[in-house]
Amino acid sequence: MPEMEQRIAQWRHNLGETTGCNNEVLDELEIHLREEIQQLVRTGHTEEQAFALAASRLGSPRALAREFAKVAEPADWLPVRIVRFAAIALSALLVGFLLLKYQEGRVDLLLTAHVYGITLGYALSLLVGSLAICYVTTRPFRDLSAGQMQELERAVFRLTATAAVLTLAGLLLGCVWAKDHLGRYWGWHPRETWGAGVVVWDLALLLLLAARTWNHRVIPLTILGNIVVAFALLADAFVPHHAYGTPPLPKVLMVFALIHLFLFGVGFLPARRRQHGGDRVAQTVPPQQPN
Amino acid sequence: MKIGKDLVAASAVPLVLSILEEGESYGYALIQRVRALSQGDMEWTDGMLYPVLHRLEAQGYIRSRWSESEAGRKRKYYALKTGGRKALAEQKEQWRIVLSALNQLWGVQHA
Repeated sequence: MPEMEQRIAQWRHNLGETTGCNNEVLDELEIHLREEIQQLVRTGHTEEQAFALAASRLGSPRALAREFAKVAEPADWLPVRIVRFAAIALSALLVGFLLLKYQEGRVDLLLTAHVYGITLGYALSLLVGSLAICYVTTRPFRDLSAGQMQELERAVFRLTATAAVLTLAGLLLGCVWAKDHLGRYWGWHPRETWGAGVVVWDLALLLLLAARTWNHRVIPLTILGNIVVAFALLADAFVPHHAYGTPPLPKVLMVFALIHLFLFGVGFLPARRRQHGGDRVAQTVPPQQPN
Repeated sequence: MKIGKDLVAASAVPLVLSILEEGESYGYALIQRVRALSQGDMEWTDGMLYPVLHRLEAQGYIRSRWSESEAGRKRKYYALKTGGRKALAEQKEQWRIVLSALNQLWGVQHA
């Protein structure tokens, strides 16, 4: 019996990891599994056979993840709303600011477009990281509903895609500007290199998010994107004799990186169960209990 | 004879609503009832029922509550709401039209 309990616990853990379903859904599926095992044992199957058959009848975790993703209705989550508003406000402010500079004749059109793409691209990447921080710090206290998770995944995917496109466009425009003004497209300047790093990071995240499984693990990963963006924003700190290069800026960057690594680690803490009557399934529904 | 996947998927909602019209029920019992009704020909992957139930609940057709059975077993019970009865009435009408069309084509004689 303890072996069966271990199997069920492992099955539940795998299901939760793959589907990202909250504890209420996992409880419901576990109860179903237990009832099926009990029925199969009654009809002459061994416990081992019964478990394998019941788990297979419930469907693979990946198939279940796809089905649950199809039906979850997006539900409002305050951090997503705030981040959406911040993204729109930042974009509008940046357009206004750059148009003003352009009208004053202080920047040409190419540089204006480059600065817009890079600045907004980095800002959106940081907003994605901020959303992920809200997610990992909320879960230990209150698990998100399936609908809220759906809303978060959509926001993270769209913001990351927009950030990748804007940063890539900004980077390419920067190359053209560099050719005109510095005589070369690419010079491996830390600002260029880290900018390319942000694009690569965003594209890698998009690939992982597009798979639509393991999203509850990919979203915490976006926190690390804040470190990449911070290094890209303050890349000049790595250029010797540059004004920004004076200590303690590199130290500040390191502290920033360490804080974000810690927050990423918080993402591995278990989510707090949502309150419902199905709590403590294993203790209340023994597999062999007769009807 | 096993029923095709598309037909199984299309009939899931009317089946669930119709069973719940008979009275409150829970996931495992719903699956067993479908198996019994179709004499095993309609094979659902059990786990696929729950996303359907959750969608119907989000749409306001059914409601759920956790409760303990007489044997002390915790279960999540689902029951039909007024919106679900209306949706079921529409589903019944649609399926009758489909059935009638097929009957005419296949020359089925009604009593």
